[in-house]
Amino acid sequence: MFFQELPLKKIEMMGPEVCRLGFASREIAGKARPGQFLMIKPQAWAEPLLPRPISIHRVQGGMVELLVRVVGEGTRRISSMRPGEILEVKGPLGRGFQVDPQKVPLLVAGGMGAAPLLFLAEKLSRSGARKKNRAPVLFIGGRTKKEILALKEFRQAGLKVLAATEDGSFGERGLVTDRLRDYLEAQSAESALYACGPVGMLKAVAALALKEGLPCQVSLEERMACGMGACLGCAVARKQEEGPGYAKVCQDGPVFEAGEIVWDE
Amino acid sequence: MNRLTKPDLSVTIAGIRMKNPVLTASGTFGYGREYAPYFDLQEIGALVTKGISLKPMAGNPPPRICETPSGMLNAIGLQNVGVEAFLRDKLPYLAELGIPVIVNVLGHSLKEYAEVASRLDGQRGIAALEINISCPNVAQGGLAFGADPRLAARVVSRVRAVTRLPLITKLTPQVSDIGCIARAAEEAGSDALSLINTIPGMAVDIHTRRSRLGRINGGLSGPAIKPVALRLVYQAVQAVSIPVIGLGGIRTAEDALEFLIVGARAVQVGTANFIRPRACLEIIQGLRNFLMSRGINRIENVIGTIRP
Ligand SMILES: Cc1cc2nc3c(=O)[nH]c(=O)nc-3n(C[C@H](O)[C@H](O)[C@H](O)COP(=O)(O)OP(=O)(O)OC[C@H]3O[C@@H](n4cnc5c(N)ncnc54)[C@H](O)[C@@H]3O)c2cc1C
Ligand SMILES: Cc1cc2nc3c(=O)[nH]c(=O)nc-3n(C[C@H](O)[C@H](O)[C@H](O)COP(=O)(O)O)c2cc1C
Ligand code: FES
Repeated sequence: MFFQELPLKKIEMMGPEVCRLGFASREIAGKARPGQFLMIKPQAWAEPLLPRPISIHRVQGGMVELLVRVVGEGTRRISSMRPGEILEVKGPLGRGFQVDPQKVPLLVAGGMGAAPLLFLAEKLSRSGARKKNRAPVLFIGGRTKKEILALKEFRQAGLKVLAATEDGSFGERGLVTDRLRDYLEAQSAESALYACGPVGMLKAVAALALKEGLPCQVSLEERMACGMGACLGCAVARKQEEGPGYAKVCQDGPVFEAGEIVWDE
Repeated sequence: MNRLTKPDLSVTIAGIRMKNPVLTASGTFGYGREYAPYFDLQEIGALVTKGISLKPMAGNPPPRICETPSGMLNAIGLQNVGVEAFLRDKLPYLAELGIPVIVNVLGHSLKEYAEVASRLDGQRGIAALEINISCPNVAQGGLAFGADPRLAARVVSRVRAVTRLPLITKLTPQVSDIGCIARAAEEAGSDALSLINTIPGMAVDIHTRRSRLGRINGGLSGPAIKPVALRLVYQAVQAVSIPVIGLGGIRTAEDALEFLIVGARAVQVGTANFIRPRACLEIIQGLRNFLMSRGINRIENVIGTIRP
């Protein structure tokens, strides 16, 4: 784990609400694993006080890329940065996806959930995990076409893409989990699910995985202060031997086995 | 003094020598190890652990934190591993660091405070206990022990009776007369005081009309509370003759100096650790630079130098 103050190399808006930014850090790029995240904060601003957790979207050589959706003051400040301005970066943090090379990877992305899954997809294609007829599949969904992110990059990484939008503006009309359900009903290959997106979607994916008896990893979100296991702020209810207790999303996750999580809280 | 020699930052509090007056605040530094990837922990004056109770505590439901102007609210709910797991899993690492380790003790009854303290007594690697009297007293409907001078004194004397370790009593700002509580802790046998703990507060989500935390109340920390903390520390210093450790919103060496100037003999750094994991180190370096640039050779020469 590193704490670095790095000049922003590039930043571009991907639409009205989402930006993609990149910086160079050989240390972070070298250690980063798909599913891990960074705590970031523009140095020029004292406020908001706390850094914000953002997934690692892509690593190319020594460059690290992030995809940020503007939802409030912290992400607005991040998105308004200019190249050359200093970003404070802590990471890579947390436990990422643990890929089972024996199984066909099925990636499930809802909205911003596409961000960490591109890193996983590119890692899978680089490690040659896709053999004949065993190419990874991406299930991607959002409310509208605008919310479908990084499609070109996923295709370049060799993933078969099955998309759904709630308004039907891209892919099939409906939910991404509808497409996943149809696929699983028709398909018999040994597969493993890797999902990131809104909690409602993750819950539905976890239920499908349980029904089909498939291994399933989900990436969760919670409010964070430190991102490094020190404040105990990022609690998520987890099944434990002694009964339900709390795990730390930043350290025990953000990627969890779907079966570990207490979904109804 | 020669501007090239390094100034002496060391202080002694309750018989514990610290190589500088910068300590970590309980609950913001985990059990120490979490920060080891970011800097050499031996650089800090002393390390204060997360609060330890008799039995493990699960803590509150999420969300547990929310940001507020220049600060944050937390409702962690005193989650901790419990004293047995602390001794087994956490203390051995801390004991090897070679810096004073102060264990923050919490309880929901007088008996629990005494039981935790006696279990910690005599363990290798513990330099002192910090008693968190901001905890809710179950027997009195959750009112903080630290809100009532008689009750605060009883906590301190119960703990005093079961351990020879130096005791630091950590005070809550939620009192009408801080001097009165400070004196009560001193008379009951506390060797030092630390203040302030978080200030109770709340925040509401106007869309859902629910608290932005999993509980109604949280504790406010960060730069927003610094002026309040500084005044309370100043008043506590006036009220007692034991050393006072100041904290609340310290982010820079300049913030730390304000506390030292009003008479704190050391400071603790809390929320700032979340923002910059090397915050303690940067503050220590900043104190050193301040002394060197003014030709002051000892930090002691700054402490309590507030002018009328
Ligand atoms: C491990 C992890 C990885 C993440 N990766 C990404 C990423 O790659 N790209 C990205 O754009 N965002 C990501 N997020 C979410 C991002 O951290 C939040 O959107 C951001 O912290 C919001 O800060 P803000 O100051 O802009 O908004 P705030 O003013 O803090 O909040 C604005 C609104 O967003 C909601 N909100 C804020 N944080 C969260 C959260 N963590 N979960 C759900 N709702 C939230 C609030 O309830 C509020 O309604 C990730 C979060 C986590 C925990
Ligand atoms: C997340 C969090 C957890 C805390 N846990 C404890 C605790 O277990 N025991 C305690 O005495 N104080 C605890 N505190 C209070 C701090 O030690 C400190 O008194 C307070 O945060 C003010 O300092 P600051 O503004 O520098 O953070 C906690 C504070 C925070 C933010
Ligand atoms: S965010 Fe601090 S422990 Fe997870």
